[in-house]
Amino acid sequence: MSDKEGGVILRTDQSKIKIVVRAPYYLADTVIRILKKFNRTEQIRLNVDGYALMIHYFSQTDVKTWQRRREQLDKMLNDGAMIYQVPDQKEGTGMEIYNKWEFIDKLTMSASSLRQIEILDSRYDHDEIAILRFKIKMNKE
Amino acid sequence: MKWITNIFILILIYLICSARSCNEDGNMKELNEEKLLSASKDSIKKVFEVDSPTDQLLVAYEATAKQKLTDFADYLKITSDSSMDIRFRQQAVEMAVNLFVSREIDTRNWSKAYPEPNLYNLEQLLERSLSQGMSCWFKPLQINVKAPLTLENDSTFTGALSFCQQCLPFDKPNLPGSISSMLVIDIYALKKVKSFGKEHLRIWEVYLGDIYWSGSSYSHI
Repeated sequence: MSDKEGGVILRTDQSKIKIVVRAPYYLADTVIRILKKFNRTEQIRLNVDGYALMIHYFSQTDVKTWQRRREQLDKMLNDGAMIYQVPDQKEGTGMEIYNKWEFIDKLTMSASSLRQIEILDSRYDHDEIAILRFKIKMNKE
Repeated sequence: MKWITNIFILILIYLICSARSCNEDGNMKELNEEKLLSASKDSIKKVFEVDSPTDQLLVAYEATAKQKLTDFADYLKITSDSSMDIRFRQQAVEMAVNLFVSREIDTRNWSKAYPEPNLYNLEQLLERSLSQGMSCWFKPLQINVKAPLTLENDSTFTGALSFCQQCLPFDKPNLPGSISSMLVIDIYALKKVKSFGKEHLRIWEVYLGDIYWSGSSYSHI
């Protein structure tokens, strides 16, 4: 919905709006604003989703620190975590649901299909990731 | 004057008593989070536990099968690369096995370009790759749906992909490898039980099957 700089133009005749802001690698937030006639622009700050960023980083690195990365992921993910790959018809990528250890295995194994992973959003249960939604950007070779 | 003061005090008491404490706010937020989490889980279950997948969903599963074929080549490459740590290669074997419906699936045609004879099934191919390594690995190219996923019974869809392989030697990775004739691999979408911690879902999962040879010889590019 936003442009390249993250800007969104909203046209409405309502005086109060409620919007849910979602962005890759940031925690989703619900923002309520009372609109003012003379203040038409506003910057909304989002909190970085550190775990999502870390998962993106893990998918990009090499195999040297494999065991350590697995242990770190074990701590980050809830035992009942559902990790869901969203299909993308344009990119030609499929859909799949992983449990915790399937995802750790896949993420720490250097498979080309997970090298370009983009975390879309995540939900936490007591500081552990319980739901993670991601998509894969294919390398056009 | 006194009654005005009394009313003011009463209003003040009301405001203090009716105000929410920080703790209450925190509890509300936690409760809200729990509700959102449970709603998200329910929507995921709805998508994956569906009884009869839509055409769109089947197309997504075919794309998953293509991805799994590429993953198989990647895992086999890791297994065959004797310069890598053995624990890592063992993990790759396990993950390669999990991509297929069975360990006994026919991989003779995948392995045809290897100099080693007698690699009849997946188990033998992986065992040989792990114990002695291989001189080259195969990258699947031009992966296309040959037969779309079609219903076999209430828990099975079957289809097939076509592809060719490029043979890439480990010692000369930049050498343009030979390309095989077209191969065909069976694909399946099966309804199986998968565990997510204490929760068990009956969901559709994609697997690879036998590999057939539909050409005759290798050609160099």
